[in-house]
Amino acid sequence: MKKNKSPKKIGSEKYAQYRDNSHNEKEKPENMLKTAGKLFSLLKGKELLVILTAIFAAVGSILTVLGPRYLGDIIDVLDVQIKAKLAGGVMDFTPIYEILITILLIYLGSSALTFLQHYIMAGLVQNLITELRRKLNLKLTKLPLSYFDSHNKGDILSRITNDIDNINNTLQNTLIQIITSLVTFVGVFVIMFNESAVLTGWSMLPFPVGMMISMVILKFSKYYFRKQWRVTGDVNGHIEEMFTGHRIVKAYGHEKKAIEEFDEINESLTQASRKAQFFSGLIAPLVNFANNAGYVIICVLSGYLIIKGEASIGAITVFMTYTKLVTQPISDLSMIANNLQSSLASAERVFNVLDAEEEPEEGTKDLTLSSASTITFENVDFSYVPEKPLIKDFNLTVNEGDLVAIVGPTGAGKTTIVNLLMRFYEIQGGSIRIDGVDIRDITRRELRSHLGMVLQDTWLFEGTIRENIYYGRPDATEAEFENAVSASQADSFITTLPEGLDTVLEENGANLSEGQRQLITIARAILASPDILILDEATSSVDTRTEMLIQRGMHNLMQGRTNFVIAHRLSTIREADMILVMNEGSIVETGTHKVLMKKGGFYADLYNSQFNN
Amino acid sequence: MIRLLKYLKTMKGSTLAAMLFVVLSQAGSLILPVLMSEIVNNGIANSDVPYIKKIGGIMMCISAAAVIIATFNSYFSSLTAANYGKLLRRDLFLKVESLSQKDIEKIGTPSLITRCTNDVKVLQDFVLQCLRIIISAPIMLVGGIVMAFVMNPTLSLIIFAVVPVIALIVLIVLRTVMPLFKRRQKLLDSINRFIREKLTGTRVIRAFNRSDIEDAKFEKQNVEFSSLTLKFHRLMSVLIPICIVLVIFALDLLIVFAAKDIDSLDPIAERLALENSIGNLQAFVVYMIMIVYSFTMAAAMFVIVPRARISAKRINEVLDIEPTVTDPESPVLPDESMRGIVEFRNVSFGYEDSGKPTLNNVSFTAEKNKVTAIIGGTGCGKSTVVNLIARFYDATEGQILFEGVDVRDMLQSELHKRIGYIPQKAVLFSGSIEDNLRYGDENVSEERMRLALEISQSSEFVDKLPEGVKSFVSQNGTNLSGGQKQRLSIARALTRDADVYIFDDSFSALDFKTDAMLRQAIKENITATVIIVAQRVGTIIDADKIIVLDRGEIVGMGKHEELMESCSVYQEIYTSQIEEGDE
Repeated sequence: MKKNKSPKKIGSEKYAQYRDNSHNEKEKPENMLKTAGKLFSLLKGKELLVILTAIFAAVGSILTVLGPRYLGDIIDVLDVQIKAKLAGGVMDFTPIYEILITILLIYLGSSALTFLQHYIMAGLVQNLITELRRKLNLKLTKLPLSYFDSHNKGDILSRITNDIDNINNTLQNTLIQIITSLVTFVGVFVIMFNESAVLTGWSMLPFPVGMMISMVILKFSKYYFRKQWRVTGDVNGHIEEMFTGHRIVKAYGHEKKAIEEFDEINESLTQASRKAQFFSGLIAPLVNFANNAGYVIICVLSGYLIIKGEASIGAITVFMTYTKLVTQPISDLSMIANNLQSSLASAERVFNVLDAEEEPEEGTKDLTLSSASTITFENVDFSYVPEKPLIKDFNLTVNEGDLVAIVGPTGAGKTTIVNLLMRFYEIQGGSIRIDGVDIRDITRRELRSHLGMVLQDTWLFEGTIRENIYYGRPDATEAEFENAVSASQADSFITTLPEGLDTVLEENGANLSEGQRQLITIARAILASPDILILDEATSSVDTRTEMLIQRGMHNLMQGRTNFVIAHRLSTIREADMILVMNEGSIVETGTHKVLMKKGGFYADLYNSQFNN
Repeated sequence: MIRLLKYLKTMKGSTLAAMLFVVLSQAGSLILPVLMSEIVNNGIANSDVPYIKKIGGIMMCISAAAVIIATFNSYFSSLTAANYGKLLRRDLFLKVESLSQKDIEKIGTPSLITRCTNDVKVLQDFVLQCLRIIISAPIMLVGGIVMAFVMNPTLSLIIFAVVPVIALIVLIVLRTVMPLFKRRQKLLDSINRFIREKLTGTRVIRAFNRSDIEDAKFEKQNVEFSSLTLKFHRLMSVLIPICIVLVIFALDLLIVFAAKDIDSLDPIAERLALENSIGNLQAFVVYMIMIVYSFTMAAAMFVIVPRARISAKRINEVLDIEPTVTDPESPVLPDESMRGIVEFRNVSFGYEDSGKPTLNNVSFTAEKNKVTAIIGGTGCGKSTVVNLIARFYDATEGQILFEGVDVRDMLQSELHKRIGYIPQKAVLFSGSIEDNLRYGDENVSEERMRLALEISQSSEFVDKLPEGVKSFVSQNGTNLSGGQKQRLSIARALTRDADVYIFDDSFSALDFKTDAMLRQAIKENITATVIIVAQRVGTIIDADKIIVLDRGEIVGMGKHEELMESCSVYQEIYTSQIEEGDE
């Protein structure tokens, strides 16, 4: 159980609290540089392509820098020709054509290079994004179940869709821009410096100021970008929860409240997003101001220089373009810094999941269970939350072929025993052995390949009934499949469906009743044909007549297997070889139905309460 | 998309302000080259240093003004875009809240989630880009063309040679890109659905060792998603270089023509024109570059248009759903004198896609303050009966009278207010236990809350929690056992004073003892109509009326004793459960 101090938490506050409550993950804002490092380390193995892109960018930038220089030259050449004409001569077109062709070639070259850069980079970035999404998906497989208990589903979803999409949208241009901007800046600066050190010095004057202002602004925008993506996760969380619980929201007339909460989170998202955009929008004009100031300084100064005869008109044109060129990468870089921040804020959230603690180590890979017959629990201790011990010193031995029923009041820890046997959670003391092998010494895969289970909560995916049943064992034969379907009694309702086995199940199962869904999950488990079968309230929504038929159908299947059944209904447990009566995390009685009834203890009390009305 | 842009109407002020400031800042950047040409032509030609300084000063002032203008633009554009996103998201959320379960399934929850967040964000970014850049492109274009024409009409004609070519290229690229984005957003839905299923089905996926196969399925979508994005980026990587080459080609042509033009001037008669020609040409080149660059920029920015269009379509699809369950135009209030009476009159119901009707000609009355129980085989339509009372669906035939009024003739809010519904699968929301209980009645008193916990047999475990009712329930109650969730979901319904309580097989996760105690407590404390759907005969044995359903039809109705005599289906159900107790 987690803390909740004030009685009513709504909207963003509630979700913020959710985050605070997740005890195994502290979502502290990390160093953004570190995140950037992690992000770009995904490009590992593609260094060659990165270098190639950088070379293309460098050559391309040189061409981009040379281009305006020739454009400037052409004004000079024209000036010479016009002066010649003014002096009574004729204009010579050869030098003009020469320069024009050179310009065309330069731009053809730089365009080709730009194309190549983007082409390669697109591949690199998509590779990185695919990798990131893949990693996140694989991570979800490795996270312990407790992680999912303490994290909002919608928020995790938002990370894999919205956040990764954001990184995707920003990274493509960002990476190329960084390379190009840096190369261009250095290139132009060198050329300018060669042309006129004085003018260069003057035109650079406004930059430090612009940079400093940018740094300050970046700090603000960083904060709001982080907030923006975090709250996007909250909005996603709220929406997911409300849409999933739609029926309850409606039945309790809670639309208004749901909307109020939504409004609150939505407002918080709006504010964060507004501020992030506002601050990031300030960078460009400020840097542009520096840009324009440089432009003016050059104009005024070059005017002086030309009058003094120290510079040509062409030189001014060159300088003006260079001033534009040298400021462009800087203003680009500051714009990128913003984009980058937004994508790093998202990357941070993705890495937060990727860095979360995984399930403890697997056992030895090569140890396998030849069969799975005897199961022993030895002094097992377990609790979901440290301060609330649930299972204390639990001991149990189950022999091959046994049908073991676990009964007890709700919250007694029945499902927990299953969770531990399946190794969904790690025990904190004692050991669980199958045929003498500690389940921690084998891989989870190996363990689970011997176990099959049907859970209290039916889980079916969107797909046909056939696909859902084959899920248990995709390589099963047609005969085995039919056998499983009839043993689970699912065939009787499936045949009434117009599409039969090819009926597509809707996500919320609206086209099937809960009981029918349970029958499908039972068919799935029967098809899987495991050594140990666990039925956890598997037939709670199935009517008793059908349930009896299922038991009959499964009777043969149960031979030679070990079976666990958790149920409240007596019809289910009466035949059990052993009934475990649990209360508050430990076994209070064991025996067969007859023995326990005779004993007149906890079990008999539980059982008789049914007729006491 | 245009329809969605109408949302901007509600924020006319900030939209217009943002646009105004874009125009102003563009005006600034158009004036600067003019001043520049002035400096060269007049200042330098006449060696007029004060003039250069004066113009330089003006240029500085304009630049400074540009910063202020841009700041305002940034402010108003972010304000508009953020509010735009907010309104759109809100309307989507409101829409979904107004829909019935059936309507929601048409699009599916995962897709609805993507549409509410991802697609809205695409449009929000689109609005922002429009107000910052895209809108300035035509301004720059028109401004540049006008200025160029003023300076030299004949040379300006070259523009018309380049612009159509670029326009054509942009059009072709757009055509190719649109279907890519459509598919891409669909895949995003699919990825969302996939991960959501994975999050809810973790246990099953792991238990069946299906992680590898699931991951392979995911990988397929993941790769396709990326390859679509890749295709798009690669298409775009061709667009800009081609445009630039065209620009330079045009510029070359222009200079050739300009040079010929100058060459044709008579050095003596048109001496002044000849002297000014170089300064003019310089400014002209600047304008030309500006025009064509703005066009290229517009083309590059234009790529977000197809994406925005697809997202807009997806959003409109949701906004356009006609809710199948709607409130009547002139609602009637339930009849006070018939409080707590629910009557089914010849009700039939069928889902569109399944051939046989789920309910067929069902008629019964749930009497005031009596317990009516519904029992029957799996898939016999028990839950459907309940769903129809709460109007999660509407009957295909016949009518359901709630307190004397057809449920379709009253407001859903009035109907729901009078019902305490407990679903088959307990649904809890993240928040404290108390938050969840208050779902039933926002202003519930402490005592009532205690009573609800007491009746539902929840206090037994809630009191043991270190923080009692303040304890945190995680999403869908994953930190509680199945029975605990079910009891809290019962407590939630009991916090409200409903006329009718509906238990849709809500005892299935409870042990017999708790089940019995719970029913006893309800009997003692609650005076209201109770409708119970159940599997166990024990749960309903002393109900005032038991309705036996079989394949959507009523095959028996009456008290336990009566049914034991007259109804074979009931007898079968009874014997299948009770004989075990005889041992």
